[in-house]
Amino acid sequence: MSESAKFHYVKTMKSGFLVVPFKLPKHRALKKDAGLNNNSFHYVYIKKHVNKDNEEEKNCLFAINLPILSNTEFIKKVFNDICSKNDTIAYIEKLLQYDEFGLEEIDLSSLTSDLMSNKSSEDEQAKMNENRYTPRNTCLIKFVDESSLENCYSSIKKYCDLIQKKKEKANFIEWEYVSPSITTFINFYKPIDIDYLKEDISLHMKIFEERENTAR
Amino acid sequence: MKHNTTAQDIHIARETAELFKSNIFKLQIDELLEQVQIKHTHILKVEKFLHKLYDMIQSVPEWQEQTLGNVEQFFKESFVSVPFVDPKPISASTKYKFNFKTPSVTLIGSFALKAGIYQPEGSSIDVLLTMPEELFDRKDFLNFRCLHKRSVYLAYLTHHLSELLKSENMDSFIKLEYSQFNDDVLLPILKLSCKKPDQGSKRNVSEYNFYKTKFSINLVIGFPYKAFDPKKLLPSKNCVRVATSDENVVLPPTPLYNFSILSNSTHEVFLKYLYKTKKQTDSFKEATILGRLWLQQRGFSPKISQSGSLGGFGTFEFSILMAVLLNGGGENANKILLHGFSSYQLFKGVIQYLATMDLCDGGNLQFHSENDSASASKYINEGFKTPTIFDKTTKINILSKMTISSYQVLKKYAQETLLMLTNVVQDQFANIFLTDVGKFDNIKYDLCYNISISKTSNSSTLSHLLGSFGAMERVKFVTIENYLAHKITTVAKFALGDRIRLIEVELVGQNHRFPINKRKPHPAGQGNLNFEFIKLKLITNGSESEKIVTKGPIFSEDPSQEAVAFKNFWGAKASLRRFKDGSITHCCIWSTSANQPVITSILDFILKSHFSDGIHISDNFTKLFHELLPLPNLPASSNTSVLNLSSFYNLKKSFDLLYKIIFKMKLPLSVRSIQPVGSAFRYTSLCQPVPFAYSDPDFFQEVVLEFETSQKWPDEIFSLEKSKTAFLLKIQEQLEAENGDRYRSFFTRDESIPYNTEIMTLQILTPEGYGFKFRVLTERDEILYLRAISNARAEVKSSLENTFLKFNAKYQASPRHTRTIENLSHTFEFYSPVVRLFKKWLDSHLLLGHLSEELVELIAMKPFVEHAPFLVPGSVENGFLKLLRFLSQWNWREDPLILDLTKSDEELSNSLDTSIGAGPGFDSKTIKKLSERLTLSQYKGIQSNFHNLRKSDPNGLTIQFFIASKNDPSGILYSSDVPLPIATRITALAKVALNLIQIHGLNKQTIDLLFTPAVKDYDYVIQLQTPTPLKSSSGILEITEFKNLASSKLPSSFPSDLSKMSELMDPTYHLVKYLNMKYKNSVIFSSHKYICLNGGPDGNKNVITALVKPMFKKDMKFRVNIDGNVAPIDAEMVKLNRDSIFHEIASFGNDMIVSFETYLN
Repeated sequence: MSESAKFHYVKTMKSGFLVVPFKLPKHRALKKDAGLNNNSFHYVYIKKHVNKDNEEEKNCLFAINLPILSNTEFIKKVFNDICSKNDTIAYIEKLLQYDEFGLEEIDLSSLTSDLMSNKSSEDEQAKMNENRYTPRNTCLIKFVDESSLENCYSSIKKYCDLIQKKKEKANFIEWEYVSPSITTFINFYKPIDIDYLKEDISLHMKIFEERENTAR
Repeated sequence: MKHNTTAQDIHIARETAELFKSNIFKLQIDELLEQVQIKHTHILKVEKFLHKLYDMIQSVPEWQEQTLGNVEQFFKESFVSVPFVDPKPISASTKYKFNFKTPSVTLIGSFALKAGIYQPEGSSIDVLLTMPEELFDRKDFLNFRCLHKRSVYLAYLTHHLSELLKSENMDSFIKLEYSQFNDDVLLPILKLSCKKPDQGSKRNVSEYNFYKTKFSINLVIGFPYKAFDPKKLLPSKNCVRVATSDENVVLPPTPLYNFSILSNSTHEVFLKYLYKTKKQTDSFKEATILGRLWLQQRGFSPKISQSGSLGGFGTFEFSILMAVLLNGGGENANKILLHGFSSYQLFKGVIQYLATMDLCDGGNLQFHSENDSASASKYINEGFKTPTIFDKTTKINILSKMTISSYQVLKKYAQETLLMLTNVVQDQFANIFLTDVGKFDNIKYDLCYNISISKTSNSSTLSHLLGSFGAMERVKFVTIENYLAHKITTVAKFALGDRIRLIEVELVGQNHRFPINKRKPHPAGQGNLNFEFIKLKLITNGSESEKIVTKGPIFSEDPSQEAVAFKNFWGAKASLRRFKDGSITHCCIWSTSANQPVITSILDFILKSHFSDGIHISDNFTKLFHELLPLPNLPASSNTSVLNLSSFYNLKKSFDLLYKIIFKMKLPLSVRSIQPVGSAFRYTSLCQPVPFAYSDPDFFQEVVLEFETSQKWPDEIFSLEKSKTAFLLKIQEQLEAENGDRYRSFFTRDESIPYNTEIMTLQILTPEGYGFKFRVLTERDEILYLRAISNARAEVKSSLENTFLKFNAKYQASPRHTRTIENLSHTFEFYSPVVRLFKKWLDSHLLLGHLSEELVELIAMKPFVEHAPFLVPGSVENGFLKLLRFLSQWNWREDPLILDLTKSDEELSNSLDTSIGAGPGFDSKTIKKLSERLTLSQYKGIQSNFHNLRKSDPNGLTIQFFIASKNDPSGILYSSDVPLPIATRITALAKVALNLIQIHGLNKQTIDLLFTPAVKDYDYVIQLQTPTPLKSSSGILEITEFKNLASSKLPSSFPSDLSKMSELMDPTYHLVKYLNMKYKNSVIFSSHKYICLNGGPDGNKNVITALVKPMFKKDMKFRVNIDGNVAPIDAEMVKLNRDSIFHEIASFGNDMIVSFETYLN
């Protein structure tokens, strides 16, 4: 059996998610002896996001399993590639609630601020927290307007249709990872610039005081 | 009114608790006794044979008086040899006659007393055949005469028994063999055992075949009671006359010989004595069984200890002592035990007597075995310098088979057991009776040496040894083996002095059994020595073991006797030294070493000088364990003892200077406390602190700073953190302004508290080359973390609880933890190297990164503070192996680890060491010590915390390790986020490790294996390499490395641009950290935390192992919150997308990734 024959494509999940495959780039450390295929794919699961209550979350695609270190710029590029195959354009505004390392999964600030806990009822409090909550490994891709969203979504669909049709012979979009360098990892140890730190603190304290004053 | 606790109160409280405990104990004892009972059917079976045997013995034909010549002639034609003891009699000089007349037959030993227990390896039944008195002359006790008569008697019996067995068709399954009773070469016996019946072929099948019972039968040939005058056989008498040309020579006493003869005539006397006491005392039998178990678990036996073993004290001696104490035993002959005592009370009484009374140097115990009520036993305050329980009736010292060393071991274990018995807080039943303390020498003893006779200089060494064993030595010690064991013990004991507490010499591989056609056992070693090699086993005294001076007597112009003896003993090593107090003293100076204890150098020197150069003392594994500890790149580090903490003290000194500067600063809020909390402050950092070695992950030592109380701290956590940083900035400014020429500093973001992304720490670099990391604690922090928990929605509450625990551990509990561990490290000298080796072991196996330092340190404290039934570790390997043993047996699902983090209970035991009958003597010091210990209610409280935890999580899926102490009764402060597979892996690895060394012993291969990670157990393995090697800059020196070369790579100052420091720090740490955050739900990644140690020769390699969580090993239903990198299988099912994960890791670690490997999947 040839390796490419292993490519098996499911276009939509029962829950309505479109399965969007991306071909993965070669890496010098990934050799066949580790049992890897020549053709590896990453799958992103996409669905239109519906939240009528929240203005902020209008015109969004709900995405599950974006590849590691995806950022807005890069998502824009990839989705534009898909759209351009379809001769269309879609404007992505930003990624919402994209927290792949779970650093901000819990907002300690709002949970500890007595301004919030005193002023709002428990229900409101819970709701406020609930609103910003999406599961890990998911995010919202926000488009500037509805037509952008529609353009993009239909292009993705067509991209998926094509893959379903042509299988491994389809013209896949190849994912380009954003690779950190060693410096990224040793930067964690690097001193923070003192002037930046001072400025940041004075700014923050000013805002905090203002907020406190308003609360009073 | 304030109530003052008095000694009386504590005494009453303890008594009540003890009574309660004694009741629980009783239940446990009953259950235990039931389990060890011998099957009644087995007894019937063997009794059937015993009757048959009795008949056969009766039918052995009597003989006529024979000369030795006739005897030799008789046995020339027999297949049986006479088991003559050395020296064998010679016809020409042997005038006395030999004979056989029917003996009287009696059962003796525990089978006779019905106090035996089931032993998995089988047990023996002793049958005494007493030779008729008519066979002896009054003076036959001299010069082996009675022994030779007995040997012929035994051989004649063996010859006929064997014939009779043949005629009864029993020879096919009854095996006859000579043996030496209690390993006494002077006492050959005949041993009968059975071969396995083969039911299929009907071979060996007989109603008399008692194979299944696992019994064997010893036929012991006894001398008639009072056949010889006991006074002539007192330990001080000589009964073996040696011909000397010099008439003035006083012949040495022959205590072993005398005892062997005398004790062989008194078996029945003691049997009666014990039987009578048993009749009077309901629980006597049960207490005997407890004694037997206790002794067995500690390696004691009735064998003679002079030939090297922990012998001389078996069930017989225990029972006699108990009987003696039921008849008196106090200084005024007051009764120590009462007949109405329970088995627990009897057992405890005997243990207490052994623990507290000196039966060797300061006193002895006397009794009458044929007692009337007037002759009570009595403790006499006069020692014979040998362990003594003296029977005035038979003139026998019951403890004759004990050496001073074996007595000291017995006493020590009795003391330890007494502490366990008086421990009213923890249940010590299993420790007292169920743990085999002696199963593994390296766990029982701190240091074990093999002493062998070098094969190359074989003949000269041997002849030297044999040459020193002259006629006088022979009569005194009987065998060269006894002589060697004695001499090695004496020399080692004197040489090591208070460096050791206990010593045991074992002659390994002695043969004591031999076929009936042989005269004596086949020698096991070279040159007719009956052993393969000698094992020297030591319990060290931590505080003294590594001192470099062996002090002798004070120097005087006219050399004292001691001074001469000292100089003779040490030879060229002895020197004179003036000490600080001005005294001039004879002494020996030793040098310490990083890879071997001083004790090793002393033993090597002294054994060679007192025996021969050909004596080889090997200590390979101690060296290997020492070498596993990272050697710091510090002056003279290879000559620095593992117990030396000066590298840590230097860091502390540097901190103290900085502390003073900060304390003096004028700040908007003044500093209230600066508490050191880093692991180096408590001597537990894996690498020793080395100046400027900032690649070491522990280089920056943590410090918690608190300001005076203020109402002004912001009431929201991020603003609070910002204000803290503002204060740290003030400190930094002042430091820069006033001490900027010497101190440097910078800020970094701290990620140690989950979700608190605003913590900044101030790193200060000192002119001495150390780094400290300051974080600020305020009184508001705790309130805010708790508020977050109460405000949060239900699903994230547990995450926030974990955050709170992390905060608590890092900020609040850490000073207490550091103080406690630091304190205990001073009491338990070997704790520091042991915990550091343990960390190394965990990191070799990629586990350390998942565990908090504190958790590891508390686990490592277990063998020290809760050491029962063992002693406190006194060597690196001993502590480490005890740790592995504990981890391999710790069933954390059911058992909490509750640590009493108080100092050694030795002082406590000393204060309990009041003489018998003196009443409760608790002084204020003891009361204080007792009050520092965990009380019963605290202990119960902790236990109920554990039970509550397990109620909600019976299998320990969320929290495995429950480790509590007074510092943390919750038990989960440091273990709340250990991943389940990591906890189970620790247990599994410890099991494998212990198994490995139990099967293959400790050697280079096994020790290497202990520290080799089994990466193939993981699903994926990713090899990494960093661009910069980090070993030298972590301050680590290879033992074989040229120091100047390594030093050139170790920074000698901090870079002028501090941001350059990060280039010498480990990038893989953050790589793995973020991978774990990204794949939190599906994969667990592990890697070495110390790549300076485990990253290859240069410290530039690391490995990431991945363990896929069980849920992601199977196909799963697709869900929105699946949180895993998955590929679709069909419209409903997905599976983990391994290839994509590899690509993500490859791109994420990019430059550092070398290769991927997959194993399971």
